[in-house]
Amino acid sequence: MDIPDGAVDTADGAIDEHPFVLSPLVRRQAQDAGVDLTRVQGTGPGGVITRGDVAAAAGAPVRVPAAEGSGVRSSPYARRLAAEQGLVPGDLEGTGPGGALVARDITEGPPASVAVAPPSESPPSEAEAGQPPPEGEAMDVAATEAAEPSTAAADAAADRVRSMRQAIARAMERSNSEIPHYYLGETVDAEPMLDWLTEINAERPPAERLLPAAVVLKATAVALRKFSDFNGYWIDDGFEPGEGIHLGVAINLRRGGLLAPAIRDVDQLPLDDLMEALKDLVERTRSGGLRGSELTDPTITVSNLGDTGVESIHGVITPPQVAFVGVGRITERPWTIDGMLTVRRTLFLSLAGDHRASDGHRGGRFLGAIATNLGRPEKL
Amino acid sequence: MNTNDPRELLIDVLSGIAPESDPATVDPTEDLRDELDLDSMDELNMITRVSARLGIDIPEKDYPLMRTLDGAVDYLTGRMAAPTP
Repeated sequence: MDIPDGAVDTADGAIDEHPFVLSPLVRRQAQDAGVDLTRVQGTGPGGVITRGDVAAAAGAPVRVPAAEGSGVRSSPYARRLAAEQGLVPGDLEGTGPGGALVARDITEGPPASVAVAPPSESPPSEAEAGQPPPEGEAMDVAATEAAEPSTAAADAAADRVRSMRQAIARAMERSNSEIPHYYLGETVDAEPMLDWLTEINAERPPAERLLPAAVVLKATAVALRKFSDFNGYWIDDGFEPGEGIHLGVAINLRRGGLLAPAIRDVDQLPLDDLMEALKDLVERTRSGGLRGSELTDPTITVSNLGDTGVESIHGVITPPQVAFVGVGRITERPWTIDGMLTVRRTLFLSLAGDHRASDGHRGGRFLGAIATNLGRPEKL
Repeated sequence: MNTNDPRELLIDVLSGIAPESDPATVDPTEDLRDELDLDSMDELNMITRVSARLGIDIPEKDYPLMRTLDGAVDYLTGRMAAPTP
């Protein structure tokens, strides 16, 4: 496949070893149970394989049979790919565990750079990972947008948009079938934040100006310090708090699709640094320069439709995260202050919460804390 | 590209921000944000780049004057004629 220049260095670190296991405990458990981790579909953050996944897999046949007549170990998916392309597994060199043949060993035509994993080389379990979309596909979509326009590139781009759509579909299906969502919303007076920004930005050149989005992210992150039960994952029937407050920022891709890579430790970042990080993240998301870890890092997702979107958003949580904060367009509304009617610029804050991990009362207080923080931006 | 023609410069800058669209074909009287699906980050990037290339400050309060291609061309033409705001 064609990989545009620039995709190679941008994809640095984009390929995580598969299977994706964080915990040594899980590896040991898999070894004890004789579970082949390459065949386990991870349900943890970013498709990470959890103890529950291994336990579930242990109940199923787990040994990968040797490919018939070849004496070569291979995954079923790799065998199918090989068969589709008329290849004999024994002629191919396996790069999986123990030299097993895996899907990435079966390529179409001469091997391209390995820096970006095209969807066709991804094992199915990666494509079904919780994080939409798997990083290999994501990189491709974005990288292709920067490529020289040509029919082939356009076709490839269309394919990757389709792949991303499918990955989003799987994650969102899983979300809506597994996560009992509840939804809360609150209209917030945005004048204090906007006045403060106007004042700050008037003294700054364009390159150093702050956007409301940066303030909203910081306000959310600071609120999460106290409301840590919204920051983390629902894994193995329990809540696991995130290690750090890493906000997944929903960023739309113009050609279609959406990614929510993380800015790490947002509560610790001064606003200027956060603004720089946000600019950088948006630019890299759209040009194809994300690191794979950035897509698996988020401990919660924030969608800020900013000044061009709709007034309110009712989000779908990205499993295994447990919350989604939505920020609508800033819009003028009639407002009362001390019994006097006036017009204020407002925004609609929303929360989609996982009812397994939290309750509406607590969610309401979390939203209230964000609103309070927005009311005193100078303290962020 | 090195030009001081505001329209050419704007189209060049916008091509960098929204490479999948063709800014040369936008309706110059319509809101650029709708025409090119720009968000506030794109708008800030546009202002930043235009400002840097022309060496003029563009205060935030003037952003609304630059919301259409024609409007932005008029605004920048005026600012280049009289560089102090």
